Amino acid sequence: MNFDVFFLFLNATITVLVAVGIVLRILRKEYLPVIKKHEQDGSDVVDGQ
Amino acid sequence: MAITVFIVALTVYAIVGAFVARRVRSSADFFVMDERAPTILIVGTLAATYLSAVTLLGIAGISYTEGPLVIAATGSFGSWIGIMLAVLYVGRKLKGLGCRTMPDFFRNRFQSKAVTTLATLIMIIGLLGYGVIQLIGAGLVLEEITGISFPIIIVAFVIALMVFSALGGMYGVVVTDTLMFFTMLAVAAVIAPFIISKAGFADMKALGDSMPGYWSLAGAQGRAMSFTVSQFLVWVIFMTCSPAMVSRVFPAKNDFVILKAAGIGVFLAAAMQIPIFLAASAMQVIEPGIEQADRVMLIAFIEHVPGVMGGIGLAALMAAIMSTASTLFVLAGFGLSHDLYENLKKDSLSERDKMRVSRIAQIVIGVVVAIIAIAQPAGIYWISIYAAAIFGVGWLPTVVAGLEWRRMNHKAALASMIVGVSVFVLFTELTRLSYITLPAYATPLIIAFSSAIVALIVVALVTTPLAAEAEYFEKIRNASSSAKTISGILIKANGLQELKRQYRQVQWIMGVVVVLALSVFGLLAVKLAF
Repeated sequence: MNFDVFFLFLNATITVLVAVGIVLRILRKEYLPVIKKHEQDGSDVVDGQ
Repeated sequence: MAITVFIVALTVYAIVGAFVARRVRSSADFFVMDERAPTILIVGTLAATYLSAVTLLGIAGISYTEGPLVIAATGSFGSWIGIMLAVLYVGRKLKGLGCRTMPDFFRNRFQSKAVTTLATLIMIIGLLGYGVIQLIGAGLVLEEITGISFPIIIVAFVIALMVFSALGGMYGVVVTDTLMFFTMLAVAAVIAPFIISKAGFADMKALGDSMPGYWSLAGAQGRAMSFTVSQFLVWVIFMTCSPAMVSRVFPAKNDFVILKAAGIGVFLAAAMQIPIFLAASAMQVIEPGIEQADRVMLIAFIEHVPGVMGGIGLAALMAAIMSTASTLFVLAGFGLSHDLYENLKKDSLSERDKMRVSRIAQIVIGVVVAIIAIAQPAGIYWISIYAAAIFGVGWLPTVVAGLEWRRMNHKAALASMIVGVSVFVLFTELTRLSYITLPAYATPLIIAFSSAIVALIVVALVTTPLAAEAEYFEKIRNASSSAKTISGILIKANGLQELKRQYRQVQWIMGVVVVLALSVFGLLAVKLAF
């Protein structure tokens, strides 16, 4: 195996995985609690009004 | 064919830009597209701005002569990380604070005309230096293949650029960028794979036998490891706070658009660049011995692919030049009107005057760019050396400390920017003129970046922030791009359902991005590494 070539594609893949990981973490930390809270509080119709 | 493509591509881009300009009715439209841009436009402008003439000419040339890993595995890797940080960290935070331009952040955070003026001057010099030198390089290449004289090419480019920047502002730039993005995507997804398949993976791998080191990080010329490391650092530092990248986030419709654009944009940056570098290496099999290596992709388009593909390839090269240049010039125009003129003027401008001043500023920038590009003064090459690094050493420490450190204040910002830029210029010149020789890993950029951080910390520790600075810092702590998006969606009827739908859509798109990344990069790794 040519490690240097593998390194290029590993870098590209890791960068994408890290970016996706950060996006998913933002969703879990900043959006999911709000969604759960509103689901517990009642219907979204109330929120909308 | 080259002349036809040149004329048709410029005309199409200008017509689209002029058509889009009709929708610009307010300064919010002009500066940030009234924050209405959907994911496709943010991804399009991000990818199109990222892929410049440097990718298709300069780095493609290095990939041809030295091997595709020399820049791709280090410098490009750094820039992919830089894009991620620019969008998800700096851009998202500044968008949450309601900034229309990056100097808006300096003005609000430090409440100092001196800081805003210095930051804006650094931005204008950096953007123009980087943009004009690309325009000159690409113009010289196009002069050779089209036979059209260099001044006419530059004037044609600048007029087309002014149509969508002076009339359409950010609206015009974002839409035309997206149009150009599709021609560049055609090169990465169709034309580059065609060239690679023509050469064959086996023959490409065999280049390592005839040219030792061709498939290594050091390349066929055996570059030192310090070059590899410094390339990586330069591009991470530059991209993270480059206004060209960060400002792509400001027109986004909401936070979900930013999140989707970040995942897709980082994938596309790598997935569009790597095939181009590999195609340039494939040309070493198809046509070895090209002396002017930076023209390798042009030769590939003109001589080694079917006519239609070649035409699209040339249009993509022009798109790469124009999309990057349009963003750089529109931001320089914003800097001149919004950040310098409005900042230094005592009375606030009416909405109509803001638009008028901004359009005049775009025309001024266009005329200045044309004059500099045609005259090609020696100084422009000097400026271009510093253009890429100037944001890293001048802005990055101040932006990060401004966002994260309560003690950060205008005096520390001034000290950091002045020390960073001065030390960088001083050490680069002393090294260039051979007065000093630096150790391998101590590049002028690293020394200047470290000096800027030290100056910032020392001055911040011995001074106290103003009350207004402390107040704005609290606003930063509480500002959130997601909170604004959540409240904007929940206020609608069926708001919760809409929020959940968008939440699941981002998760689903991220899943697709991961599958695509593993498939594309995995396939290429299997073909070339084993």
